[in-house]
Amino acid sequence: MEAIPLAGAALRRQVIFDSDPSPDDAVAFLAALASPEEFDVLAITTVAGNVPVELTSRNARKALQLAKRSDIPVYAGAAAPLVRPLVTAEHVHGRTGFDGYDLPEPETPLQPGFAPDVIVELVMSRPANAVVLCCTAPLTNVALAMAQEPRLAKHLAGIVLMGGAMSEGGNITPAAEFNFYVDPEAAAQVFSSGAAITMIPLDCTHQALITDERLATLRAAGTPVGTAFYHLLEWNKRFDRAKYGWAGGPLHDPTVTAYLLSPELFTGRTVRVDIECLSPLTSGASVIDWWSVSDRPANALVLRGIDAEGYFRLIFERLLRL
Amino acid sequence: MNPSRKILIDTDTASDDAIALIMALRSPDVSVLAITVVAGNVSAEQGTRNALFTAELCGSAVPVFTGAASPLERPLEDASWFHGQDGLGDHGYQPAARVAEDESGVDAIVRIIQANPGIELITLGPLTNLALALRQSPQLSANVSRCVVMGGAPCCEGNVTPAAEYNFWVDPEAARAVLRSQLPIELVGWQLSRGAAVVNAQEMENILALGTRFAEFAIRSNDTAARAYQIQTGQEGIALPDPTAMAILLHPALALVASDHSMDVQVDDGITRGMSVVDKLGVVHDARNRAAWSDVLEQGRKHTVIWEMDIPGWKQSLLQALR
Repeated sequence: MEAIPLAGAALRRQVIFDSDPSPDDAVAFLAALASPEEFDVLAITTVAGNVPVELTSRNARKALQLAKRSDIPVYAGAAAPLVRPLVTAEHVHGRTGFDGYDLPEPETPLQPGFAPDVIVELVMSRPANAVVLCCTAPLTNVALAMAQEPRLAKHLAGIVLMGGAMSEGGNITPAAEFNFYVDPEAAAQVFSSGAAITMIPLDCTHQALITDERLATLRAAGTPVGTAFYHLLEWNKRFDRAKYGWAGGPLHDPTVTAYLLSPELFTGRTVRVDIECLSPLTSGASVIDWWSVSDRPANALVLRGIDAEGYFRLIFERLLRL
Repeated sequence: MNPSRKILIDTDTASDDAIALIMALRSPDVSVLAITVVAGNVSAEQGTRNALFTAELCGSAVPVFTGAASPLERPLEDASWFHGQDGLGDHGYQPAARVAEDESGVDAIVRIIQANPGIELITLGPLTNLALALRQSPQLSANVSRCVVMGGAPCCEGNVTPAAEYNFWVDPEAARAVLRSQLPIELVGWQLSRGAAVVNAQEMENILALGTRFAEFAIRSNDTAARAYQIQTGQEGIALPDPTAMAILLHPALALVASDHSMDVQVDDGITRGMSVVDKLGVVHDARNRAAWSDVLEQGRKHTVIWEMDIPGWKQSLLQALR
């Protein structure tokens, strides 16, 4: 299986961010908006995840407003996983998902339209291989879009998603990473869809810690965006620091943007990934056939290695352009 | 000479188990009180023959007991595809004189542990025998000072399925029962025998150059396994999970990085059957994990996962045993 044809100097990539904004989701799409030579951001679609969809939809617009990019349309999507009750992550991200810095309420309304419908429309109205879906949340919207339009998976240029875990174990249960745990059925549908998937698991993101030194670059910039994200990420990382004793919390979601900008920052392997949906103990576990012990065909490029220093330099440099 | 450390080995004796047996039987540091055999890599009968042959090779009179013929609740799915039909690469190794004891392996485990407080256990196969022994006599754990378990794929890919290691996969109910017991378990997952721990072609030459019957048997009995491993992983050489576990039993200092965690085994059918689930980040105490983890937490025992091993030290201990 080929990796996604990547953006280069000659190719400006059309992208949709499907997201449940806590601060790291917002950094992911803002870094793309700050990179107009590489990205044409068609829309932000929101879904329930870190916090309920009303809040993720508000947070997305708060972040866009902060960056003076309220021209980017935001569409709200699924309020709950396909078949399960919603599980949220307020213990990590706070009650609003954006705790730590008061951003003004968004002035721009949500766009009319249900996110899965909009994904189908935006992708299918363009030529095949035009649009990359950047997913930093539970995959409910994507699965709903694929259920509605079976040709969607193959029409996409690809999906780059943050989710799953391999050697790291889980972060919400011992076996599962949050995004897959919240909606394992959606994840399973996406992985069996035939889309060209690049998966960025905790193995990668847990190497990318927001240390004080890295965070200081945001504060030092003195810009509204730098200052806001300094405080938001500072609040965010207290959880991981307190819980795991790490030097800082992982900056998960912007890995998606970083991979499309600079794939050479990452290493990985094209393998079979299946999602456990049945067992209560391991629900949402990403089962990664790293050594091809099963006969099942590969369906994803799984990234396990990251140049963390290069990643932070790239993402914060882009973010601070805003 | 009567070493003070007493050990009991439970094994589904195939090619890498046999090397582990040689390491223990030839060690001056331990006295092997019994070898109990369980169905796994091969049938319990074949495993018993292999254990007896290995004991004979070492000139050991250690009693060998045949245990469970199949997993607790499932039919046996052996690993002859990996180790050969007889588990020793099909070279016709047969014990010349020795036979198994009449007592069952499970009864022998109970009796010997009860009679030997402070005994060290090591399991090299599915955990069926030990689970049955604990069922008979749950208080056994109090007499056991260490229990080294070769099994599981803690926070890593499996070898029989993408999610599971063979010993846990073939009898997940037994693995769960043992992990939920009060035994002081040190888990040696299969990944410890991978990568740089693999005995490579040059090291195989070095072993053969020892010129002993132990060295010759170790390499020859593992030739089928070496081919299977090469097909499975693309790595040349022999991966020796059971001998790495034995090395850690014999020389505890070889375990370089270890930590204690709540853990469980997934027993449902499906893609994660037999998966060893380790609470590496310590998340099981919150409400959303309560339903799946309350039984483990109530039993209250964390176990030690060994993450990294002294690889030169491991290879030295192997070479020493085959001299």
